[in-house]
Formats: sequence, C-alpha cells, structure tokens
Amino acid sequence: MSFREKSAWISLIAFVLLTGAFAVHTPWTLRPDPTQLTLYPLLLGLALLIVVEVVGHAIVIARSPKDALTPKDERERFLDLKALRFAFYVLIAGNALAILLVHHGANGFGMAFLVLFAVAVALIANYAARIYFYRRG
Amino acid sequence: MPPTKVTNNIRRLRFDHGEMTQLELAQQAGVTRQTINAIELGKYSPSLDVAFRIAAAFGVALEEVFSYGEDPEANRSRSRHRQ
Repeated sequence: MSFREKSAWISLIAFVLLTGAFAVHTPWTLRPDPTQLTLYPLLLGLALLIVVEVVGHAIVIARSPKDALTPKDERERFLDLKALRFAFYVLIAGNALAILLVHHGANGFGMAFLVLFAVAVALIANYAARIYFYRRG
Repeated sequence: MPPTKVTNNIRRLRFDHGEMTQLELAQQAGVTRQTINAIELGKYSPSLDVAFRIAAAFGVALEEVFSYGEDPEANRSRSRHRQ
C-alpha cells in the first residue's frame, strides 16, 4: 500500500469520527432551538480529527519516511482530481437538499447544520473515492 | 480507468535489464512504484514526459517500449527489420 493510500485511510477514519460525533449530537430537526445548541460536540469532533490525523500520519511517516517524502506523481494527481470531482457532486447534492429543506420550514440553524453535514460527507466521499481509485490501479 | 490501447514491453525490458525491479525503474523515471505497476498492466497511459523517461531508463527508443493498439512484440520485430 502506498503512502498516499495510507494517508487517505487515516483521513477517512478521522472524518468518519468527526462526522459521527457531529451526527450523534446534532438535533435532527428542521427548526433547532438556538438556546439548546452547543458547540461542544463539534469541538470534540475537531479534536478527534486532529488527534487521529497527527498520530496516524506520524506513525506512517515513522515507518516509511522515504515514501512520505516522495512527491505526488502525475497518476496520483490525476486520481486525486477524479476523487475531488466525485466529492464535488456530493457537496452540491447536499447543499441543494439544504436549500430545498428551507422551503419545507427549516430555519437558519437547521440549514447551517445540513450544509456543514454535506461538507463532512463530501470530504468522506473524497477520501473514499481516492482509496477506491488507488486500489483499482 | 478503462483499459488503455497503449501497450508496452516494460516487463520484458525489466527482465532484459538484469531483472530491474519496478521500484528501481520508478526511481529512474521519477514516479511511484504503483504508477509503474499500473502502466505495466495497461491500466494507466503515462504522459509523454514519463514515457520518454522510462525509455531513457532502459536506454532504448520510445517505440521500443510503447506501441498503440497492437502487439508490442510485433512492433519490436518491425523496428529490428528497419535497422
């Protein structure tokens, strides 16, 4: 497994943890009450993300420092762009859904949660697509 | 990525060059080992820049390494006839 693929796996796990923490603590309603909202779940998710990314990458770099220093070649850049293109569609679909839900009574906080959730899911889609393309060859 | 029409002799050329490993070729061509493997299996068509660097690593002309839409061995024997 190449360094880029290992890196993508670490980022995928980190973003799944972040999104999980976010999803579990988010009030899943179109009209969340602003007085009931708290930033702690999001901060906890961000802390988890930073810890997993830093520790995961430190372990992988320590095990194969030469691979980590190798710059991306043309194929890896091409596959990253393909993955990003896929993630962009996920982001657009998520944001379109958030806009549609405003017409079904969502307030500003409800829409903001959906947009944030769409960003997180798009990032997960990006790393999952990268892994898929790397493994396919 | 769909299978490419660009065929190559990289496996044979590596064998002819003292069983050169994919990693050694990758280092000479300035790409990763995974990219050499993908090119060798016909899953990825390299840019002209990388194709020339691979040919230079073997010390042969570009058409000795790559050919388009045909058996690379047939292309190789045609090159020999020309010489």
